[in-house]
This record gives sequence, C-alpha cells and structure tokens, in this order.
Amino acid sequence: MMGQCDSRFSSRGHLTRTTIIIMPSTLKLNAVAFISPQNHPILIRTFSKQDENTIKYHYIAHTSLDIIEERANMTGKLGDCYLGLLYSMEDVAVYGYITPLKVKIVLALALSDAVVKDVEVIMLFKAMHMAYYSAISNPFLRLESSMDSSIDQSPHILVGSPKWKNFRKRVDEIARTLGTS
Amino acid sequence: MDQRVLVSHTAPKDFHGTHNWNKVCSSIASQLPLRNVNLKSALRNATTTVIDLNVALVALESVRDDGVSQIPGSILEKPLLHLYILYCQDDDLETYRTSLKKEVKDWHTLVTSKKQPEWLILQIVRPPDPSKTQSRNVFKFAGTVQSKLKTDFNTDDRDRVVQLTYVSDNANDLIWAEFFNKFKEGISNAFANAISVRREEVRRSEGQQAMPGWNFCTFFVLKESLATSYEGVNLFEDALYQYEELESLFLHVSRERNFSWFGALITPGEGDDSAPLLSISKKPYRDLILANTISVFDFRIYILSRRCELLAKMGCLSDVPRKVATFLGAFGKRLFEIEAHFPKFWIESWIYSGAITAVEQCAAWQRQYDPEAIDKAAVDSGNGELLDLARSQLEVIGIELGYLPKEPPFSIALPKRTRRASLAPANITISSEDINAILQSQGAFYDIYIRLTNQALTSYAEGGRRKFGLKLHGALAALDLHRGNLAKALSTFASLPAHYAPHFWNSLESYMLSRALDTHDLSQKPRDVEWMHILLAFLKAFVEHRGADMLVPTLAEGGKEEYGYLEGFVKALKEASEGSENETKHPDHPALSVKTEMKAKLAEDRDGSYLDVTVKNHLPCDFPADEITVYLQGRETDRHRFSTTVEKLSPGKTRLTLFCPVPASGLFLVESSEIRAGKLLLQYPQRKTPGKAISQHQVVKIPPDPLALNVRIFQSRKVELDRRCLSLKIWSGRNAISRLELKLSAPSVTFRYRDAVLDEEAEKVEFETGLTLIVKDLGKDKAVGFSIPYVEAAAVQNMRIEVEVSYTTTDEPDLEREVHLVSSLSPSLPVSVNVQDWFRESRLISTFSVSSTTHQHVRVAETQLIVPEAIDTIKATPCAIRKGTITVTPSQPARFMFALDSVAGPVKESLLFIVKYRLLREEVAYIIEDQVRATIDEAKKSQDIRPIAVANLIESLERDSSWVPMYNITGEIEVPEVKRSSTEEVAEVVENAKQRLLEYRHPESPTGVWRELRLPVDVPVKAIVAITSLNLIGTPFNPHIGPDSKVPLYAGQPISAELRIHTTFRWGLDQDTSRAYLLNYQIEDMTREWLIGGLKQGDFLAKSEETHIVPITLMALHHGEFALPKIKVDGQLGPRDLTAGGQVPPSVETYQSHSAVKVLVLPRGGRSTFVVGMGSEFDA
Repeated sequence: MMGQCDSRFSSRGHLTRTTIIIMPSTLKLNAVAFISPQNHPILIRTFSKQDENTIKYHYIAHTSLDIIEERANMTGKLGDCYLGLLYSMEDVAVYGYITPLKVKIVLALALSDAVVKDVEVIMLFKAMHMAYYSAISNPFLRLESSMDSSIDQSPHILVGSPKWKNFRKRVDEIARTLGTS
Repeated sequence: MDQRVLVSHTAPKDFHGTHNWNKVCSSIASQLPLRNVNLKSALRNATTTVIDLNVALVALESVRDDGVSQIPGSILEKPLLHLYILYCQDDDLETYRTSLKKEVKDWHTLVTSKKQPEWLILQIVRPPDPSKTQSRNVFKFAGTVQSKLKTDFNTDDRDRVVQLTYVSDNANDLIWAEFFNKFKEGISNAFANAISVRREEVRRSEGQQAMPGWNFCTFFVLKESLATSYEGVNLFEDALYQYEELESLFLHVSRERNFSWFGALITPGEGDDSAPLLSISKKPYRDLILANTISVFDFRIYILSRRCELLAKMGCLSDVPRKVATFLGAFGKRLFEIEAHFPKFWIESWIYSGAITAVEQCAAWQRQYDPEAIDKAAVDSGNGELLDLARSQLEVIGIELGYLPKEPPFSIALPKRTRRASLAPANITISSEDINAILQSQGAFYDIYIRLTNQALTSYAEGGRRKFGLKLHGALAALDLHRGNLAKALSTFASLPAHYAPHFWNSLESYMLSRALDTHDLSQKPRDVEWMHILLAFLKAFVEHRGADMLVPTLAEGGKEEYGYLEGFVKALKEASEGSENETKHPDHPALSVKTEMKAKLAEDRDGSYLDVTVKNHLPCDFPADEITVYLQGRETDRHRFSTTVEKLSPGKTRLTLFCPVPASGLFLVESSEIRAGKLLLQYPQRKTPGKAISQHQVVKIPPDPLALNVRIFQSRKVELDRRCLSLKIWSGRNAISRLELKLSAPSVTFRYRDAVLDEEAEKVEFETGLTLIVKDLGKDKAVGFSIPYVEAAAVQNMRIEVEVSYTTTDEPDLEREVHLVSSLSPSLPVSVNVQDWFRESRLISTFSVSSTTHQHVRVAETQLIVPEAIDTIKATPCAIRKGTITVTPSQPARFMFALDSVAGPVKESLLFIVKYRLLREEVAYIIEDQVRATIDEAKKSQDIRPIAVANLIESLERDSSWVPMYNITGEIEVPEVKRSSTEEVAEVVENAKQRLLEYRHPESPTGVWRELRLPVDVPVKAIVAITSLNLIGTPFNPHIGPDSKVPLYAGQPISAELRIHTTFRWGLDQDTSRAYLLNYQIEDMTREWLIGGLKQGDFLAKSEETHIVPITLMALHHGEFALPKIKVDGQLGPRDLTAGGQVPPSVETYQSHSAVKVLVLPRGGRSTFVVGMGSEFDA
C-alpha cells in the first residue's frame, strides 16, 4: 500500500499540469495560433483534418491581429488578458487572448449554436498560455538564439519551430484533452 | 410599442376644462420630458439616472381598467402616477371644505384601490395679493388648505401634497422645482414597485418550468414585458439583459429537445431567405408567439433583432455586426442539418441576404442613434465582416456551380459536409435577386462577387482592418487568375508577399509567392529577372519556414515528391540567371550561408593562402552554384579575394577550400561572401550594424609567408639633399618570376621611373621603365634593388606609398597575382648635421656635429669634407685623429673638425660634406644575415630557412638591449635567450649563428653597405675679419717688455700697452681690397681688474691687411692672474655709406688673438715707516 502511495506522489508535478487542462467543455478547438509581441507567428497549429484548410487558420491568425490591436487599444490599459470573441467567420468563432508580455494567443473554435461561456474559453486560454510559458522557459532556447546570429530570431519564434517538439506536444495534448472530455 | 410613462390627471369638475386648467396642463407638458430621473436598475442593483424620460399626461378616465387583456404588457401601459390638480387659494378653507374635499376624497379612494397606488396632489394658488396680507394673517390660525390637504390625505410618511404658486407668465421655472421633484420621486417609486411585482411574477413562472403545462411562449411574453418596460424608461442595458436571459433559457430548453411549443425549426415561407434580417416588423412575431405558432427560426431572428436594436439604442452599434455574424454562422449551421427541406442554396441565400440587410440596417441605425459617427470605424469593420460573410456564401455557391475552382482561397468557406439532395416542395423558392441572378449567369456571379468584395474592402479600409483587406485582395487575385486575367493576378500576387513579410508571416508569404510563380508559368512569360526575384523570395520564405506547415499544396503532401517542385524551380533559376544579361545581386538570402574559418593556411609550395569555408545549403535540393568567393578586407584599403569553383551545393554542409594567390598576411575582416550561379550573385556582406557588438565581425588571420614575393621600400642609401630618391628592393622568394610590373603611388609625389637605376650591389636583371617599372625573368631567391628618384610637390613628414605589384611566375604563367602593399617612408633623415665655424686670419675651422634625430643609435663610419677639384683657392684638412666607426646616440652627438686654409680669394662654390652612416639595427641585421648565411653554408643546408632563423635572432635581440654597449666597443653580439624555434633545423642554425655572433668583432675598416648623406656646405662669408691683440709694452720701471719677458707687474702700476687691430677682407666676397670700412672698436670694461687709460673706444678706417694701433695704459686694480680685456669690433656705416642708403654695416668677425693670454699681477712691494709718539715723558 505504501508503495502505491509513493508512486502517486512522485508524479505530482505532472498532476498539477493536467488539472489545468481537464475541464468539462462543449468547445471544439479547430486551431490555435501563438503570435509574438512583434506580430510574428510563433506557432499555428490546426486540429482539423482537412489539410487544405490550413491556410484558413493562417488567415484567421493574421487577420485577428487587426482586431486584437483594436481591442488592446480599447481595453489594454485595464490589464485584462482575455479579449473575448474577436469575430466569427464562416464556421469558426475566433477568440483572442493577450498575455502580459504581449504574446497573442488566438483560438479558432468551431461555431456552435450553443452559448459559449467565457469562463471555459478563458480556461482554455490559460492552459495554452501555460503550455507556452513552460516551453519558453527552456533555457536551451536562448542558447540557440544567440548562436545562430545570421537569422536573428528571438526565443519566441524558436519555440514554435519544429526543432523544439515540447511546445507542440503540449498544445496537442490540450487539444486532445478538450476533444475527449 | 408605447415608449412613454403614463401619468393620469384628474381635477375638480368645475376646474376641469377651464381656461386655467388648460394653461396648467400645457405648463406641465412644457416641462417634459423629465430630466435626470433616478430609476432603479435591477442589473446594476443601484439607481441609474435616466437623462430623458418621456412622460405623457392622460386623463384618468381614459385609462383602461385592469383585466382588459390577459397578455402581460409593459408595466408602462398603465399610469405610474396619478395626479390631482386643484385650484384653491390657501386661505379659502370654506371652498375646500364644502366642495373640493369630497372630490379629492373620491379620487383618492379610486386611485389607492389600484395595484400600484402612487399619487400626487397639486394645489395651485395665486400669488398672494399684497393688499390682502392683513386679512390673511387673521385667518392663519385656522390653518391653510395645504395643511388641510396634508392632514386629510398623507397617510404615510411621505408628503404627497404640493403647493404651486402659479404665475401666469410662467417665467420662473423654479416654481416647478418642488412639484417635479415630487413627481419624479413618485414615478421612480411607482416604477420600482411595478417592476418588482413583475419580476416576482417572472420568477414564479420560471420556477414552474418543470411543471406540466408550463409554456415557454407564455413565459417569454411575460419576461419580455419586463424588457419592454425597461426599454420604455430607457434602461436599455436591463432590457438587453432580459433578452439575453431569454435566449440562454431558450437554448437551454431547446437543448433538452423540448420543442413542443414550437411548430418546427423553420417553416420557410416565401421571401424568408431575402427578408431584412433585423426588421421586427416583417412578420407579426408577437402574435406568432402568443399563438404558439412561431418557429425557432423566426423566434431566434426576433430575439436577435430586438437585441440588436437595443444595442443600437445603447450606443453599442459596433457590437451588432458581430452578433449578426455569429448568429448567421451558428444558426446557418443548424439549418444545414435540415438542408433537405430547402431548395438548393436557400440557406446560403438567407445568410447572404441576412448579412447584406444587416449592414443596411446598421447604416440606418447609425444615422438614427449615432449621427456623430463616434463608433464609425468599429461599425465599418463589423460591416466588413458581414460583407465578407456574404461573400463567402457566394464562394460556396460559386464552387458548386463551377464558377470558381475548388481550392484555396475560395474553398476556405466551404463547409465540411456533403450537400444533401433537396426534397423541398416547389412552392419554396429562392427570392434573393442577387442569388437568382447568380444562378442564372456566370457573368452576374463575377460582377456581384467583385462588387461585394470591393464593398467589404472599403468597409475594412474605413475600419482600419488592413490584414482583412489583404486577404480579400488575395481572393480577388485568385479570381483574376481563375478568369485568366493573368497579368493583373501576377501583379497582385507579386505585391502581396511584401505585406506578409515584415512580420515573418512566412506561411502566407510563401503561399502568395508560390501563387505568383504558378501564375507566371501559366502566363508563359519569359523567366526574367522579376521572376527570379519572386523565386528568390519564395525560396527565402521556404527556408525560413522550413519544416513548419507549408501552405503550398505541392509541398504540403510530404515525402520525396515534396522537393521535386522546389528542385525544378532551383534548376530553372540557374538557367534563367545564365540567360539574363545583367548580373542580379541578392543580398543575404537565407537559403545558403557561408561560414569562414578563423585562420587561413599558407599554400607552402606557391604564393598565396587557403581558407576553409563551410557553405550550408538550407534547401532540401542541390543548389547549382558556380563559384564561392570570400572577400577579406585588411587594415588599409586592400581587399583579398578567396575563391573556388564548384559544381553544385548539396543540401546540408559543404566544406570547401578557397584559394587566394596573393601573398598577404595579418588580420583581415571578412567583408563579404558571394555565391555565384550563372549571373545570379547571392551576397552575404558583413555589415557594421550599429546595434551589434564588434565581436560579431569575423576576422581571419593569415600567417606571414617568409618565402613569398616581397617588395620593400626604404630611404635611399645615398641622400643628397637636392635630389630625392628612394630605394626599392624586390625579393623573389620562392618564385621564379617571368614578369613583374610595379607601380608606386603616393599623394603629391611623382615618381620618375625612367630615371630608375639598378643598385650595383644586388643581382643584375633585365628591366624596363616607362609609366611603371617592369622586371623580367627574376630567378628564385633573387633580390634586386632600384633607386627611383621622385619629386615632391609639398614636403611631408611621412610619405605613404602604395605599391601595386602584379607578377606572373614561370610555374603558373596564366595566373597574374596582384599584390597591394602600403609602405610608409619618412623622408626625414635619422641623422642631422650642424656646422660651427671659427675664423682665423687665413684659416677657417669648421666643426660638423652629427647627431641622431630619432631614438636609434647611428653608426658613423667616416666623414669627409670634399673641396671640388676645380677650386684651388682653398684647402680642406681633416683634423680627425681617431679611426674606425663611431656610434652616435641620441644623447651623444659626434663632432668632426676640419681646417680650411684660404689660399687666395673668396670661395663661391660649395664644398661637399659626406657622412657614411647606418643605423645600428641595420648594421646588426646585416651582420646576422651574413653570419646565418655562412652558418647555413657551412652546414650545407637549404637557404630557405634563413629568413626564419634571421627573424628569430632579430626578435630576441629586440627584446633586450643589454648587448648594445658591448657591441659598440668590440663588435661582439651576445644574443639573449632565443625563443624556441619551430623546427629542429632552424634551432640548430640559430644556435650555431649565435656562437658565430659571439665571436664576431668589428672589422678594422668599415665594411658592408653604408648609407651616405651628402650635404653641400658653403664656405662661410665674412666681409671683415678683425684680429685683435693687446700687447703690453712696458711699465715705468721697465719701459720695454719683450714678448716673453718675465717682468713682474704690480697692482696699481701703470702699464703702457698697445691695441692692435689687424683687418683682413680675405673671407669677404668683395674683391676690391682698396676699399676702406669705418669700424668701431670698444675695449671691454673689466672694472674689477683693470683701469684702462687712453681711447677705450673709437672709430677707425679699416683696410685690407692693415693694422690699426691704439696706445693705451692699463692699471691692474688688484693682484692675481687674470685675462686682458676683450676687444669688440663692429662695423659702422660711414657717412658715405649712409648717403648711398640702404646698406647694412659690413659683417665683422673679431678674433681675439690674446683671448687665451693671462697676466700675473703681483702685489705691490715696498715698505713705509711711521713713528708714533709713545707719550713716555708724561709718565716720568
């Protein structure tokens, strides 16, 4: 019995992370985009099957910047990260979130006829933010960014590159958790 | 819907309808609408001030009674406040008691019986007549009508009786203040009460949801009455909240599939698909709801319209388009679930029309509620989104009809589902004109599509949505492409990437670029420079975006096929670049990168060096490069080109060795790298970016090559001050040179190659001179020297000479190496010479003082003063005693003395003073070179190691100067500890040479190469040389003193003497010896030693070779040995000279021939006796 207890405690760090992710939700996540403070795309991850629609989410992430800018100018001083529904286009509802360090997160949720509770969206955003935060905390990112000076990339950009799988993994995990719950 | 608050009014029968009554009513109406009414907002749970409140006065009789309708209407349908207006003077108690009280009582009973009794009595009085003041006071004790009213009707704490002193001219609004305060208070109380009652009803009904018989529609009407009530008093937020609650409740209920109250999801009617979405008057919604026959479709539209209208009224018009878009999207999705019930494209038509009509409605509302257009930008961008939504419906239709290709960007809007066949009855048709037109003709489709896109673009532009605009431009370009307007499509596609590039939005950028490339191919335009630029931009985007999701369809599929698309382009790039006429340069393309090593290697077997570089190809396919070049930049302007040719660059890293044939050494900055493919040059300059640290710059070190061709420039060994010349030494090193061309250049200096002379000591070689110096057939390890005269335009401290040498060797006849050297030459000499002259009668003594001008020690072998052979009037004799070399140090100059004997007449030509010298370090270097050469010869080794050994020895000598004094005396060179040599061989040579140097001694006579400084020296000119002497002639005791007599001289004794001044004009220029000059002499005053009698100073006429004698008497003032007074002779302008004017007095040099003579003066001898009385007589 004792042995079992021990094994559960040993993975406590992992448990705390998953508690953020697991939540009851009716949301369906189509895509998520992380955009750096300089408006460079960090990662655009789509979770829908159709490949050719990828460009749609690139468009969505890019166009969202316009609205995020509008919102941030309006409410930016209040320090609220959640920017709410940015717009809805065709069959997706686009939500925006801006971290205190101005990294923008854009979620493209499948448009549904149900009422979407902001709390749920905020939860999802926080999970995404957390994923980004833990990925960017990797000290080796900075090492690489300083070494490869020919292409001047900040760690923001690098974290989304396919070389660093951790970030993608985390984001995918969130999407999967959302899909199964 | 009635938007006013009703207030009933009643008056006594005799007052009602009178002229005064009308006046009062109109006065009250003129004060409406009410300003700043405090109403309780349920949402904020606080009182909200409503700025404008519409109030209507109605007669109590006209108000309908309760229970007329079962439908709960707005609470504003009934009067909130009942007003009784009576006209009665305050002191007219009689009238009140008799008639008025009863009428008021009846009214009060009627009013308080109603559900929300809120009432107010207004008593109108006339302004008191001043004449009746007295009488009024009499009745005051009986109370007033007002107080009576209060006691009769005020049942609770609140005072509901107001007195108003009515003045007919109605000028003063203040008189109404109390009344309206009460009035507002009454309304706000009544409203709060009514609302709370209604809310209670709603809550009760909501709680009964689970009970059988509960009807959503009934509940809806009840709850909506709350909303309309709030709306009626302008509390839009509360009203909106009611609708939001209703909608969420509806969704909740509908989720439970409890649709029993609704007939169907939708019963599509004629024109439903094109009806204005936000109009609530297009259908009798309320009746439908009441009749329980409303469909979900209509119901949702009704709620949406109401909400949007409320939003518009609230001033939140910008939220409307988003609400509509979300609704259309979400509800459209619901409708698609039952798609089969509609004709084809019915839903698309509905969304299309909904979006378009919503935009129109927004514009209407904007004019109505927000005329100042505060929120215009936000509304515009929202409208843009709506138009975009409508546009995407067109895309769906277009794709299905085959008007548009099924590919991005058109297919973005395509829903992820398959269309089901329509089973709709024939009576439902599509009523939208646009959609019908589209279905009819393809041309109409394109027109409408473009028109709509442009409308959306305008809206986006006005709303400041740049990025949305870009997307639409992309769509338009895609349409152009589809319709065959290739040129237009190409220009749009080519311009769009620039908008995506700044933010590294590579996915979209590369997509646009690939479309541009495809379009270019389709249009079959030649692959020109423009095409190359697009392709390069595409490759750039590809490389930067490597591995992430590419949006280009041909790349996204993955696998090996992926790169075929790219490879084709890269190959085509090479072909295109070879075909183009001009070079295309592209800086910093990320597809390739060049990294150089820090250190270059020497070629060893030939002049030049190798540099290793790593070229990284980031593309997944071969890059067809021709040549890789790296430019290094030195301290001066020299630039070295390392290059190598290649066939191709494979993906990944390629290590290459570049060669530069030019011998150069030192530290170099990597200036730029270049990769050439045909006419295309990919350049990678290393710019000095202000933000970056210097350490970012890459530096390459090239080791010195001791065996490479070497050209040295130094000051010519023979220096003649009037003829400038420099020496040039070319050492061929390891090269057998077939031809060498050399050119010197320096600012403001002209070199005369034609007068170049080959140095005698060095090798003989064939050479040509012209504009440059050309040397031919110079063998290995051969040194030739040239002296090249030059002319300076301006004297400079330090001459910076640039040497450009190009040479070809016999081994590599095709390769011409160009060396660029910079050498600095100081025209100033390491020695300086000063002359000092002393005149005697016929002899001149010149002292030449040679000193070092720098910190260097100078070895002087010999000095000569040469009289030109043509001159026989003078003879020069060196006075040097010491033979051998003399070392001149900066602190210790050397003097060389020469005697010049004038034989006859003046000397006009100059003599030549020659110093043979060399720097100590040069001398030692020669010695070392010789000794090392001898050592190597002895050991029978290759002379190739000589330069290394010499450099080794010199380096260690430079470190420590303790050997110098010993060397100066003996010639022995004691080399301090030598640093470890690179090879055993060299170390051995160095060790042997050291031994030899220890044993080395200065040769008897100077050997080796010496520098020669030739200075022209003029024989100094003196017009008159006066030789003065002071001869003692005699004393009173010894009248004649011989020249060597030992006659004692005593202090105080007068000594007769003569002053002789002999003048000679021998050193002057004037040949006319007969001429006489007026001179002035002056005997120095030596007041402590000599008392001088006679003419101490005076003038005399001097003639050549004549003597002027002045007798004087001297008296020594004390004993001792001292010199005779000096004589000063000066030239004076005679009266004749003065009249001639402008002449200077002749230069006179005085030679004191007696200046070394000293005279011994003895103390005065002799005795004097004095007898002094002792005064002894007085003692006796």
